[in-house]
Amino acid sequence: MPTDDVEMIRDLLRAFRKKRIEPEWDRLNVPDADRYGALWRELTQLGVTSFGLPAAAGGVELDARSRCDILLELGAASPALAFGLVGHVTALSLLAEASGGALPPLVAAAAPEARFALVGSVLDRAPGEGFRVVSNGETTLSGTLRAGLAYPDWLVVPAWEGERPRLCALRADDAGVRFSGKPSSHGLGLVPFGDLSLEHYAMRPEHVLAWPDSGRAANEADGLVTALLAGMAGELADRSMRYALERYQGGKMIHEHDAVQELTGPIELARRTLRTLAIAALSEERPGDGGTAALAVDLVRQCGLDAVQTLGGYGYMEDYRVERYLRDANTLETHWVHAAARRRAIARARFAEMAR
Amino acid sequence: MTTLTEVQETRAPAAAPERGLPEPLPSAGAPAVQATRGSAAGTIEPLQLRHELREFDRFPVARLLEAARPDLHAQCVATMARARDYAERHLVGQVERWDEVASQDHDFVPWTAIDAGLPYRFLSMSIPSIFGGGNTGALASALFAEEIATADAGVSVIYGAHGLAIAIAAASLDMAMVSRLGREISEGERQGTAVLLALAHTEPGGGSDVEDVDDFKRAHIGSRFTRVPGGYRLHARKVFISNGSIARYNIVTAASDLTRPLETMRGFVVPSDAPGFVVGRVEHKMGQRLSTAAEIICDDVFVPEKDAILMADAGRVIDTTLSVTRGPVGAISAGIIRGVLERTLRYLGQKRVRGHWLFEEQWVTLALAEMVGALQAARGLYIDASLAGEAWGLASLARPLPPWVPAFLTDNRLVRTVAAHPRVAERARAIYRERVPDALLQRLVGHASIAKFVCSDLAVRMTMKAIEILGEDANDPAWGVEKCMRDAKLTQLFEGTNQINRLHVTRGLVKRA
Repeated sequence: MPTDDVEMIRDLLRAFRKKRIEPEWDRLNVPDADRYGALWRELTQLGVTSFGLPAAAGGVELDARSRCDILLELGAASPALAFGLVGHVTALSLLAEASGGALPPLVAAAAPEARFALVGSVLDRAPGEGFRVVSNGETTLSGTLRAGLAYPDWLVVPAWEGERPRLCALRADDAGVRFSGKPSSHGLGLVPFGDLSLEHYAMRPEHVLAWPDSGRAANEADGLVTALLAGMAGELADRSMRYALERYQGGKMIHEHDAVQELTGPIELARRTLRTLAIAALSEERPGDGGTAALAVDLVRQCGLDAVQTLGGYGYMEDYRVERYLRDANTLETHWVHAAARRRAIARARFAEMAR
Repeated sequence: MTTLTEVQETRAPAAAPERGLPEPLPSAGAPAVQATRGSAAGTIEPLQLRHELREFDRFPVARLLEAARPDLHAQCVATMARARDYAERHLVGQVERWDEVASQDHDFVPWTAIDAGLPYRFLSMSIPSIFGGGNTGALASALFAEEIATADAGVSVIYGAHGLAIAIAAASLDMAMVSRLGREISEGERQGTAVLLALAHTEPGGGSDVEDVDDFKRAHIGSRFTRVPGGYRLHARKVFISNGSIARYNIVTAASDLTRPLETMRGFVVPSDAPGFVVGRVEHKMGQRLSTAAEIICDDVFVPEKDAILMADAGRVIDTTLSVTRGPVGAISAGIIRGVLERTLRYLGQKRVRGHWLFEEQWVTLALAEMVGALQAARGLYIDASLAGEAWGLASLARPLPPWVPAFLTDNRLVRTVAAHPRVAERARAIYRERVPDALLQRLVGHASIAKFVCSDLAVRMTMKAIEILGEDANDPAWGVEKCMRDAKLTQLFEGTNQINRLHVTRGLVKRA
């Protein structure tokens, strides 16, 4: 994609933020399907929700830098909205890959307008965990998983059929789909969290696909979440540094204190580093392992703590719009990244590689 | 048992409309963990900390204290037992739900819990017994703070902010004021009325500035007073005042000459119904939501002479106050660590994965060990700071009388009158300066600051770790783990940010050889 187009997308998203996110900031902290839907429709009109789709299904091909910057801008503006977009794009990428580029007909028909959500992790699945597919004359899907679901029309569910990994697509509003969504008490407040339960849910056989093993979707998710986190780091850097430039203490402006420079410098470094890492992950051809996002989420959680610290008492108050990013980073960790598990898995994989 | 919908939870210092609370969360208290991944649903393997990590009498230091200072030892054991009884009866199982209510209703105050604490006499515990209080020392007060914070840090801060206001009056050695406040607080406890105090010191233009004697001289302070016949006129705007909106009395600091704030500072005891006293915005906080933080405005408030606190040497008053209040922040942090550890254990006692208990996985064992280590490290530091205060600080001037001295000899009007006499205060200041010179006072601030910043940093780290252990379940408010994280963050900010505290450690405890 030409540079001009990338900049145009960035400008469009900044204008979207100014017009639609900023005035509603306080209300974007509680679940609200209508508000989320309205924001999503505008994002769709801007053309930034369809890059997970294959071109044949109406998707847009975007290079790594463009995909990164979309998530980066949206992550800075509203991590919860960006979280929904990551789930949507990853779900579509997985479906497209699993179906060889041609989505199942019903899904393909819905895809240009519909919202998709990936339930659970792309990584770290083991037989017997999560959802189970049983084909016994009829194909059914059963299981329960705690998830944050951003008002999807379709659910994309990783599952096991015996020892074979599967990918299932189903309508979120079907009668057999139960989701006990309630407000998060921590982060990503716009999105409801709860248990998704399916009990012998009758699947269309054509919507139960073999799990794609190229690892491309894992890379996609890894890079997009890192980009989202880069956006959050950038926002935290901007907000804490702006405050430090305006605030006086101990006989000088607080940005002149070593203590404040030691807090804010690493946040600025995180902003710069994470964008580079996100682009690298999105450009990676090898199967991904989620390592980049694991690194990123730890960094951004620390950035959140340090940004609140820079603002002192003001940082602890909701109005200064810093502490929410800290809570959002924590919830991204527990609901998507699982950094500690990632680190152990990466070590195991490397040990196995070296042992060979 | 009284249900929450039957009691009034939100009330202004005077009166406010009754407010019902929502129904309890289905999973409040002890939620059932999602039994997935091959779990044996319904089975529970209860886990808990051993006694030597929970009971003061089993702490190694308790044996030494019992031999050296049996009076202090007995006070610590009794205080911790009373605090635990209170927390178990009135806080556990409620605070997570109250926190959710407070997230929507920022004026929410857990009056049920505060009122239930009155028979325990926690509000008067740190006041000298001759003025109607419990004479509770620094160590027992810190143990109290840990015990309450284990259940809820916000409630601990309600008592802590009240104690902070008493501390500044005591640090000023204005015994007449301590006597008056002490008698009213203890009388309130007897009659079932909470007479809460708040210290209104932080200003919009001066947060950590006003916690540091040197920075105070250059701080952008706006609160001022002028002398008028019979008293003072007070103009002040204070922010983030814990208890400010619910206190019967705010002790408001102000200076007569804003170019020399430290030299001309005084404290003023302002009742909540004083003409011109206004509670401004009640803050929307990330955590510790059961403790309110409010903006306080004094718009030309008249304060009679008798309600002014003379701060003869404001620098020493500030340092003395910090030396006795930062240790308890360390204790609150230790309580948060213990609280999140106990909540994590409760969770792990129910969580099975892939056919085994989650706590059997090595990474969880390692994380738990780190949390237990952090608890002990934090506890060691705040106990050390408290004992330093007992041994060398303001408390060392008031050794308890031997138990064989009959109470009527000390608890009578004559003794109270003499103790509160201005000349006695003047003499006490001189003795205090002699016994605790500035350099020693700064060392005490240094010890207290170590406890404050190290414990609070540990609390934040351990609560973040607990969130990782619970994973997706951490977002369930009923477990209370994410609340602990939100609560912990404030301990790095109040009583001077941890950055200011670090500076005070070096200032007080490192010297040129």
